[in-house]
Amino acid sequence: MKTKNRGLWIALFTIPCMILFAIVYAAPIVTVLYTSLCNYTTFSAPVFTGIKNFVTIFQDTDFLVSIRNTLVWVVLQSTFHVSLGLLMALVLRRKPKGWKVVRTAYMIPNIVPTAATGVMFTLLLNPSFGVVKPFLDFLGVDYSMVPNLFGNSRYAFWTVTFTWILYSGFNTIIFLAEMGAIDKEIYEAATVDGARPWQVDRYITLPLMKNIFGTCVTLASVAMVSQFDIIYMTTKGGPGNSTLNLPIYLYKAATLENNYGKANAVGVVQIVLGLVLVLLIQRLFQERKELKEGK
Amino acid sequence: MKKTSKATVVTAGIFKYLFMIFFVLIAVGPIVWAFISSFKSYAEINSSALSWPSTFNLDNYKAAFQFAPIAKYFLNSVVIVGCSVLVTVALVAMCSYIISRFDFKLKILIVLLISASLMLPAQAISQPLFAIFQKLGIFDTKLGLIIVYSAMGIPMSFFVMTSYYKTISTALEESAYIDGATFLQTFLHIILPLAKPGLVTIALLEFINTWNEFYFALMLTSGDSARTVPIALNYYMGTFANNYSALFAAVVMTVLPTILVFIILQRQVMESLTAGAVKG
Amino acid sequence: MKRKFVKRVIASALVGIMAMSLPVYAEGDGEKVVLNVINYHVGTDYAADYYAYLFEEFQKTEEGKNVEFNFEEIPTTDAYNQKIKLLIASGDLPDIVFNGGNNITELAAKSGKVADLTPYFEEDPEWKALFDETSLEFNTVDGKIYGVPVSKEISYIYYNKELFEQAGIEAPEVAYESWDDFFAACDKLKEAGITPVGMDSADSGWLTNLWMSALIGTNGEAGNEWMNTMYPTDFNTPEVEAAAETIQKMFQNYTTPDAVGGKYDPMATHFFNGEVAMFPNGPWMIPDFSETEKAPEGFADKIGIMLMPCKGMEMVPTPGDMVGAKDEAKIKAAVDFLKFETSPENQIKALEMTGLQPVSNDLEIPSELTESDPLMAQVLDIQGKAEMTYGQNQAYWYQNTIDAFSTQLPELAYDNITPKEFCEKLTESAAKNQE
Repeated sequence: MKTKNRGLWIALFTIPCMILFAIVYAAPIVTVLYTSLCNYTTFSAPVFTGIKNFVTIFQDTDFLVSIRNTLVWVVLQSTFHVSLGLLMALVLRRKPKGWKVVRTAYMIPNIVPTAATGVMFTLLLNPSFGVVKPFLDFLGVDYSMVPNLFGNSRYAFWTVTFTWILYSGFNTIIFLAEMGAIDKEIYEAATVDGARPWQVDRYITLPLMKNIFGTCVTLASVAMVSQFDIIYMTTKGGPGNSTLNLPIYLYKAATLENNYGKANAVGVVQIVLGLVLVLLIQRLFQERKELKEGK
Repeated sequence: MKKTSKATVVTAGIFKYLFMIFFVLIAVGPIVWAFISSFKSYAEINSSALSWPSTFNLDNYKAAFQFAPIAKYFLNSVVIVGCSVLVTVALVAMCSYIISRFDFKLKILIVLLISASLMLPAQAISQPLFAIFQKLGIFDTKLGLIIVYSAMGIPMSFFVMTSYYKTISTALEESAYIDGATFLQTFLHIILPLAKPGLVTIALLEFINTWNEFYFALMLTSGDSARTVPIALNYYMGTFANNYSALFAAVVMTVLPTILVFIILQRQVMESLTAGAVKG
Repeated sequence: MKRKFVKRVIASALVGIMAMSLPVYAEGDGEKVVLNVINYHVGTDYAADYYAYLFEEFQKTEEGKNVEFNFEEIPTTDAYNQKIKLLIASGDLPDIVFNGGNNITELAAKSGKVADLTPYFEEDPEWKALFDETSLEFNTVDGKIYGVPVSKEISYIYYNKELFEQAGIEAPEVAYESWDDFFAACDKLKEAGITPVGMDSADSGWLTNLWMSALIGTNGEAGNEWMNTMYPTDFNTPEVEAAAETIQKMFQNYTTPDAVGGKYDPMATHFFNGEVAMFPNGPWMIPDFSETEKAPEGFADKIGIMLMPCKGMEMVPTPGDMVGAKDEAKIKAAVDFLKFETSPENQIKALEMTGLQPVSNDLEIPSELTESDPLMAQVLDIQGKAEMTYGQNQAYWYQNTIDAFSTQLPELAYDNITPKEFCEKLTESAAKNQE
């Protein structure tokens, strides 16, 4: 785009953001990168040891499992979860009766404090007095023992996933904003041409959502790469290592083993994994044409 | 022109409503359950998830106030979250506009830095931050938390906003430039009004993300002057005595006003959406 | 009362801030000494009232009248421990460092950021005499005393007399002679449709830990020695493996279905509701029995106390409170507070208000206290009958091993790993501390 003093405006508009960024992130990024190469514990200053920490973690099966779990969650979240948000936005877009209530209600799980959410789910799914038993009775399922959803490693991963995967209100809001930006005339023209509602969505709305869908997938993925609170409140990565992911592994290395060097090595892996995901996803969704247009 | 049969329309309608009802139930269910549970006693809450409380007294609500300075923490939360929302929105509105419109040498670096920070684990950065904040004299101040939260909000808002700007056609700006408008005029009078729905959306997202932040609120404060609601909630969980009822009472009391904020903000989104129709 | 306290806290915090900005003024002689304190005994903590009392009373004493506290409150020991570790690393410890359950004494001592208290103990033999050797040794790192133990932790079994009656069995006077007798009783209870024992696995698996420690600690001399060892690294000993096998059976046969993955609170409620016959825990639980919010009316009367089978009892010195202050005057003031905290009167006060057992061995417990609280009297009495004492994991194991214990227990319970594998996991996790 052509404008006067291009360079000046670029600087003026990006520098405030970067300053704030530098205050908060500059020193930590350097610290994390450097100390990941150090022998560094709660009671000893960092001493450079090369890639020892990385060797240690990559030899640990728990660490490999935590990468696998993290990736599975990334995939689930960036496909099912985001699509659910999109589907809800498509439904609400037409403003069916009560849509405002639905839109607000669907956001509520995101504002309930995680501490409370964790307690709620552990109590609700308690095998002795929770909802599982009555629910199975209601369905007429025959069981010898009520499944212990958080306690048994066979179910724990999916139970933990369940605590967040259906709550896609966040994405719904983003999609709704984007859909609102679509020119109404296009829709009017399509309706006049006799397009059915699903055709309108399929051929008009969805293609226009490609960009923001990419953004939502990016956000969902990085959210999963750094997902911590709920797991910590419910299973702490257990039983065994069935719900262990990178942040929980990192947390344990830092606070239980007091090994900051190792923790920061995990942090570096986490950052690299996240960056790779971001770049991959952006490549996947980016329209080359637009790139040129932006110049 | 084919007509969709009436039966199809009706079934589609039924499915649509079943879909909405299901998600409203699973979304509202837990908080309603928390509300009911907030009247239960310790024994009731720990022995039956589905029972009705034996009495509807307000003791747990009183307890919620007794254990923690919840009203004060709530106000702190409002101030801190409110300011960080404003800061984030202002900075991101500018920065991501540039990123979405221009190509320049350092662009890729900025994008990479912002992406990387999304993944920075809180545990890893708390210690350097602690030291820096003490040096700057903003440890245990609202300002300190506002700075952290604003910065933490940047990456996510940045992605959403960059994508939103891309939906706005460059034709408008170009014609403005031809008419002799300056960069700043164009940005303020043409782009920002069009970007309002996007801005309100990132405000909402930033709000949600910071409202429940616990770790930094704990690590970067030491007194009541800058502590926020999530810390108050910890007052109800003690060794050998988790007062879940008071916890739920506190949750209900703090979530309700937030929902109100939410409804108001969303009305804003909707108004701006109709304004957005002029967009090319 | 509470309100007043909060006001006081705010007021003293303000004074603290003002004083900090005027360090010269603060250190002048005869002037106020300001101590920074992080207090986690707040909110629903069992000792919140007691510590509020302590701080207030201290300022009324000769040593404490010039001391002002600048409080930071951190609810929950979990949050407290996270923050303390950050402060150890950054060197900004509070002047008095309370020990938050997790054993951080060694960590703090090795970081060199807490004061060596040995000279203060030497200076005041009367004070030193209040503590027995084990308690002090427990708080000693490299020959120097860093922590002042404020209480002793013991635990044993509470049982529900009514349920025992229903099953037609009689509880032993002091303890079951053997674990076989104990499990025979469990079988009887089970036949009568009663769940014999309370167990858990979440957080640190506190209840299961008490059973497991007992199984190991009463298993001959080797087991007892192992269970009295600080930071064990080899869990694949015959005693530990045998204990793990028994724990597995207990999970599968003798406890509630929600024990696996369960937290302490629902398990305690099972006991309060008369759904579980035996529950291991310490004296701090006694006040809960007569609290109608938690237990039904008259529940306290149904409770009996016995030691673990083979007359075993868990007993550990507690990790003590430390001093993080740097300058002389502050260290002195902090030590004065710790002396006040451990004075015989306050040890008794703590017993009365929180159930914490006195760290000093031969304190005279006033008869009013034992008369008004028969269960407490029984606890004080039965302690002397223990023939074997041993520690428990929260005090003795590495923190990440406690965590491994908690996350692997469900796997053991559901037979996904064998007892031997379970022990191997613990050995592995302990080894991580040597890396």
